[in-house]
Amino acid sequence: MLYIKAFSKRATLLLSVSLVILFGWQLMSSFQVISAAILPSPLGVASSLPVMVLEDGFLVDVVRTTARVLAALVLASTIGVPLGLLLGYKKNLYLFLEGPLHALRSVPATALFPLLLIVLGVGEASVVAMAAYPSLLIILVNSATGCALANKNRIYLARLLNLGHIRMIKDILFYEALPNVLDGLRTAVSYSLALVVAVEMFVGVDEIGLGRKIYNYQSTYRIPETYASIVVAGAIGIVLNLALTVIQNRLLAWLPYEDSEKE
Amino acid sequence: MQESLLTSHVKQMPDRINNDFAVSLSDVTFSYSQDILYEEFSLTIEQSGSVAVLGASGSGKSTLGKMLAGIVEPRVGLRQVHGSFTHRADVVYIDQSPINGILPWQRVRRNLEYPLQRLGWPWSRVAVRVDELLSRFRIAHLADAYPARLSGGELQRVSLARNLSWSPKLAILDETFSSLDIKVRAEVIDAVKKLSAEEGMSVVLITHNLADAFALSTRCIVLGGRPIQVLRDLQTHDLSRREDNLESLLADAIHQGFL
Repeated sequence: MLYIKAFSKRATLLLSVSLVILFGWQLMSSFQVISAAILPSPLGVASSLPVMVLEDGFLVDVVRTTARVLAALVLASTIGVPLGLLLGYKKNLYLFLEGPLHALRSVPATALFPLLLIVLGVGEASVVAMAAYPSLLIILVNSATGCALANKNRIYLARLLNLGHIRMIKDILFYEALPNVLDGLRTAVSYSLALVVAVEMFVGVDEIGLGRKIYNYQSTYRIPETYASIVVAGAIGIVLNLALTVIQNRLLAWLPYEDSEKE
Repeated sequence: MQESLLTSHVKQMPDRINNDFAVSLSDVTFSYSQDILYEEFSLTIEQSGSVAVLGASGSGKSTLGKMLAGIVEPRVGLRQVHGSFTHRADVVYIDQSPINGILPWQRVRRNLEYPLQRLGWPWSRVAVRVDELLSRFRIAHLADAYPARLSGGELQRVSLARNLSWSPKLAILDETFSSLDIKVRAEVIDAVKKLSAEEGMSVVLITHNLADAFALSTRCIVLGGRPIQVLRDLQTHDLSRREDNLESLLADAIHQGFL
């Protein structure tokens, strides 16, 4: 299968680049280019992980942060995909909402957070809503665009069958838009992770979460642990992205290799 | 364009026109911005016949096909379909690129089942019909494949099988055979011809290929000029009898630059 090949090629590339970076990092700390108090060696960072897991319950934070990101993505997709498809299907509705949508996209998600805290309170709901907000807009716009790019002749043939609105969206437009939706989802993962970590740092819901750990380690000068948490946060992003790539390839197994059907 | 798809008006025919027609255009005018393609143009397609529309590239053949299908509407003039055409799917237009006629996310068998199900066929009939189409178009071995994995010729056969599955009363095939090699082309034309004969389906074949026109059609229309006129309108059975007609058709074809 082509996608497995592409996937393993990607993974190999990722691994080799990581090794090069690690090697450079080790060299820098071995030769004391930067003080070990600011940049500990990779081995020092790695050796702090078992302590973090055993004594600080680090895995709980990793799981909680990942769960928050996934919850945000699920929330964003459940609202964004149907709404985006509807906007793509009903051109007038899209034209009507285009202005407000673009205005919303210009508002930084972080600017909305104080408001969310008032409305939803300090808790999981606020974190998830906050992380879902930019993802929702990305997914919504991508679904609408995918709809608008749908193959005209296939739409004509679908209309011949007198499909109802629901059928039209569910059976035709959903698939026409799917490549765009999944691309949007992959962009959204990065946004959601960044926001979850940021919110955890400054609000620290239940004192659990990767962001909170990074903040706590930093404020108690546990520098290797700080670095380790950051690396783990990056790893979560990479794993989520790879997982989505696999899902994308599964769901789009029917796509022509060269995407020639959209004219 | 989107709007005209939604509102392609089906008008009942007045009694004075002959009763055998499938679709007719009366005094239609159509233009792209300043370029007048058709002006007071009239054409009638009979029922259960096969008509070839010949013309050079860029001669407005596709526009004519889309007007006949009701996909584009003439600026002025009238499109009428026979009173027996009650469902929107009674007229189908199939374009040159087969992937435009297939849902690529459905496997081949599902592509054939889907329209029949949506048109309300009972499942027992759907299953029988799909098997029949798979064998008619020689695509039974591809039933479980995704369209993207098929060759151009295979795709075109699937597209025809899908879009003729519900026996539309009129099929407009726009350069549908152009991308096929000679052997596949002969097979596919034969399959369409049989289907048309057995199920009383009228076919309008839009092509620049004389051989295809003769292989499938009983009537050949040659388009040319600007605004576009019917240069020749011949019955192919006349052609075999009268050499001069064939010659004049060929002369037109050469003059139009599509031979």
